Amino acid sequence: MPSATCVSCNGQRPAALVRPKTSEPYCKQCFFDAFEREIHETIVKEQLFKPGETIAVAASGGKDSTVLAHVLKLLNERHSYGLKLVLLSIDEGITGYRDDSLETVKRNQQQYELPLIILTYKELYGWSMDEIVKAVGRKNNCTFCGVFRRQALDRGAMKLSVNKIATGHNADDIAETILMNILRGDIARLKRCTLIMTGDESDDSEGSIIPRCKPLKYAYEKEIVLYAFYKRLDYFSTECLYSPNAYRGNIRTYIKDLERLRPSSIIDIIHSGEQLLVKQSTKMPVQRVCERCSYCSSMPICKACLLIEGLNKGVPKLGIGKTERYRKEMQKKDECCSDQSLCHCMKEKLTVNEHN
Amino acid sequence: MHLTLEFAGGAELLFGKQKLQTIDLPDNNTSWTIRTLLIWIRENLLRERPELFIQGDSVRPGILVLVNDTDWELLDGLNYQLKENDNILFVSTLHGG
Amino acid sequence: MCQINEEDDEAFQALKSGTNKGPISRKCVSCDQDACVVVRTADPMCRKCFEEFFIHKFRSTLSKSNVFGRGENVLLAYSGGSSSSALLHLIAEGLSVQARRRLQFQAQVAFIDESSLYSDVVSVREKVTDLITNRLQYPLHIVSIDDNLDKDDDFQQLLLERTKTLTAREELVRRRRLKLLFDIAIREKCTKLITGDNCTKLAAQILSDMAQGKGAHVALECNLTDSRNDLVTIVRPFREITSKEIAMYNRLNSIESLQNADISTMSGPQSSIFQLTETLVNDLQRQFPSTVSTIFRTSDKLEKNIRPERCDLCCCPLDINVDESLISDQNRQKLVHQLFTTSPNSNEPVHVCYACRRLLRDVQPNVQSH
Repeated sequence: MPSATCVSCNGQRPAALVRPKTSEPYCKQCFFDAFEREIHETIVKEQLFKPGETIAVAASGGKDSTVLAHVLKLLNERHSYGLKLVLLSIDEGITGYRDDSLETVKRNQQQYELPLIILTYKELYGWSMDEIVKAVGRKNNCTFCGVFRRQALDRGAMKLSVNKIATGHNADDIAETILMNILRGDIARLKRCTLIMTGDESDDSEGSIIPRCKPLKYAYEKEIVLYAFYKRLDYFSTECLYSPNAYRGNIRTYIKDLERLRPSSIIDIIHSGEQLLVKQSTKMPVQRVCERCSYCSSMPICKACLLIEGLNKGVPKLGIGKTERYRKEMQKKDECCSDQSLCHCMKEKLTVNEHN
Repeated sequence: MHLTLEFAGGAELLFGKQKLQTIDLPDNNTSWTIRTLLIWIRENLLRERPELFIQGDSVRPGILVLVNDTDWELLDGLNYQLKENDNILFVSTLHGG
Repeated sequence: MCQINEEDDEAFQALKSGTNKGPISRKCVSCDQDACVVVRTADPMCRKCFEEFFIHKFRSTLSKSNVFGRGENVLLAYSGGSSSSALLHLIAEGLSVQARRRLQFQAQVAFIDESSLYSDVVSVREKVTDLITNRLQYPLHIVSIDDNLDKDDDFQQLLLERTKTLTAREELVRRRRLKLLFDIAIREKCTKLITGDNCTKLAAQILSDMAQGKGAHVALECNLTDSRNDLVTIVRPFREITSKEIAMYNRLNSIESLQNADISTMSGPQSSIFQLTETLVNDLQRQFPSTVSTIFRTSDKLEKNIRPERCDLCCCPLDINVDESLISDQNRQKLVHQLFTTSPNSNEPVHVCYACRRLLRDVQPNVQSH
């Protein structure tokens, strides 16, 4: 067999890589074009953006969000989307992890000439991740991190008064989440996790929060890495120091094995996920607003508030496991607390505790 | 120590289609458990594709173990101490429908 | 990207329930006898209670749904494996004159003989005939997997030489088996087809189907009744019984299953999508004993796809637009007609679902002539 030539430019250039998604040989230029075109097509087909909108790109400094920022900036100019893009970063306060990745985000800001805002957990919740790990140990800290990050993006986005948040979730992430939700029987999330946009008009389960979209939904992780590598994009590639080894690791390995057996598997899982219809009779959690912090929650008191309460009381396990009874007690006590801002509310409580 | 091993549900295919084997384990100073029996089986009986029967230090998930017709989960699993004339059955639940 | 979600840890606790609760009691949960088997997540049971539990579960699945009409002709899909052997045993007891709440249908048995696919396999037909015809005295229909195919286009060659992956081979066999079972049922005027699909197998099947783009059909595939065929309804009375329970029941009742080789025999856990998925499910089940039941419960909350247009390969409702599902390649069309339609010479257009379209990409439709 002669050395492979690019299938896209009909052999004008020699192939530089095999596209993970299609297993076809491509030259670099055609790969870039195809990768960017597919994301553009997703954006247009799914109507992710409207002209004039301000979009916060969730920037972690990792490969996904770096590629997302790069491609959105490029497509916005190439196809005149008319978007105002800003980078939004959350600093969890993990020494040796975020410090370096935030440096990457800061360089991205310069390289892409986009405004950047960084919000810290310490500012938002009164606790940095390092402090949380000290208090709870490494076993459950990812719960805190994840719960806090969900809200942190919304808070940041509100502060910046943007119209939408774009996150770097790629096809592998979504496939993994679909399987996770089947395995743990989370029917509400199973329905929502395949949506490319959540929190907008078409998604009736969420009311007031800022819509989120995933422009990289159909982009393979391998292609994102290749794209970042060949484009020499500046990204930060250390795994989170506190990252768990648990359940999700099994699923991640499974998906990588599947991909090796049949590269289209990842897209096939997403297709499967999109086809699932939940029975009308299935009980779904009602989305409402947390009585403490007014962020969206399926419970009267959101998980973040519960976790903070536990941290502040010195019983960090509080928000982990069975929590219903405690939530009720918190609700009762909260009736006197009219302050809707979580941080203030908590700070006051903290001071009171200290005085006592 | 004298034992009867039975393989069923497709597990026998890994042992030359032999469903029943009687074996004599050498007398060690330490006592035999299912864990050490599996090592012995791997070294003495399993000729091909040992990974289809043993994974890590246990049987491949999906293979059910019965000791004298009792679920090994009731008997301390891998740590069950084998006794003279025990009957150990390995049933694969991984084949067929 | 960090993927930790809000309720991750709660979900783990639920999945883990039943593990590490210290040593399991050796007494039966329902009486005081010594237990011999652990069922569900961690319930020890003695032999007598286990058998009652098992039979009750089977009978209540059948009776609560009232699926069978009096005197209805029912076809039992017998493969010789442990599930269908147990099924045959239970149904034979239920139909017998001494049975307490006697089943009221007329049973016939179908056996799809795959032995022509493998050179070194001894014929199992005699054993099957002896069991079904001589001992149980049910009408028996044996059909070979390559029945009705031309000499120059045999199924063995298609599978082994022209199908690239074990995944595709397994799926082709699965679809062809079902097609043949439907054909027998229709010919014999049976309106129900009972299969031995158990909960453990279905859980792996659900995930494996998801991975192959068959999400639209998982609700159908694991339901008690499956009406993808207008004339024959599939019934799965073992859908809530685990493969461990079946293995135990067979052992206690000395029910022999025929261990004939199949297309995946001796292939490793990484060899096909189904093998890989089954390995994952069994691995997780060992760590988290409610894995199988959770997968199953999730799929029970899904709505069945009820589009009237069907896929010509798997007979399930189409999950893509009719024009996207049309096969344009003449050779592939011919292949589908030969393997999956009752009138192989027709020129009718062929429609396939997303997953079957993907499957056919691994199959080389015609032999290259020299």
